[in-house]
Amino acid sequence: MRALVVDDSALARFRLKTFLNKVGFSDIVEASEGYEALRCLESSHDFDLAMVDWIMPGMQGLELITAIRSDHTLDSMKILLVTTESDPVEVQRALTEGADDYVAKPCSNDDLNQKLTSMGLGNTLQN
Amino acid sequence: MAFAPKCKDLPTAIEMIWKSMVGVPLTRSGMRTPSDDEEMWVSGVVQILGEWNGAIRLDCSWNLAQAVTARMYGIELAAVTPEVACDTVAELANVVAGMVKPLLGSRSHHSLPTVVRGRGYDFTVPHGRSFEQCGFDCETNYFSVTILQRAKANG
Repeated sequence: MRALVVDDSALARFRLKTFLNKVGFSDIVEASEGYEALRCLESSHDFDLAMVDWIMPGMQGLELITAIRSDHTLDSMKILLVTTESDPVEVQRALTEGADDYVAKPCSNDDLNQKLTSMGLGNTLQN
Repeated sequence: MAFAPKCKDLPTAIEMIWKSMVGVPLTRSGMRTPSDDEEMWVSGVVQILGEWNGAIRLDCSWNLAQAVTARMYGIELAAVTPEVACDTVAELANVVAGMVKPLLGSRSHHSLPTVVRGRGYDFTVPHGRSFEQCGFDCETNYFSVTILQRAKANG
């Protein structure tokens, strides 16, 4: 399975990448903001999952989700918003724009795996 | 959809974040800030704007920033670069801001984090006052978190 991790924090990307490796994602691509993520998606359409932060320099998470969902070649890719944004109005906007689910930072591997499982992408956590 | 704050107060929020992200126990202690001594410190700051205005400031001894970074990446202390340690403090400040924002009980947005590193410094927000603060010992190091409230609109 392939995943795209979009976060401006190198630490956050490292933590998500480590988690994804543990649940069987074999190919994980990193982007530090939305425009970089879109370039990754233009060159390859076969990602199963995008984990997207909200507040980033350049293109922010909400704009990125809107851009992804306007490209129907990416319809099968799930989007999980992983963010410190907790305002229910804002989160609902992201879900309306096309995010499949949302998880608030800080989140454990179990929290993340639960979300992936509900999206049909979960797996047994490997140590 | 409704989101209740994950915690009741600032110290509990910090302890939850540290347990989840760093995995090292904390001991609550008195306040120490970069202006208090000549050691190297690093501070992550996130501004909050909206119905409530101010900033969340996380002040961390440089030794702790390096130690936490090494632990979270699973690397040797000597392999930690200043850039990576500053990124770690920025992300910790970002997560603290995200968790503290609902405690302030208002609709606000938070900024990208900014990082300051040096010795003997202090800073605030315009018309700012300390709204709440707490300090912690983490093994042999220390850090503190301060909520700065902007007292009135500024332009």
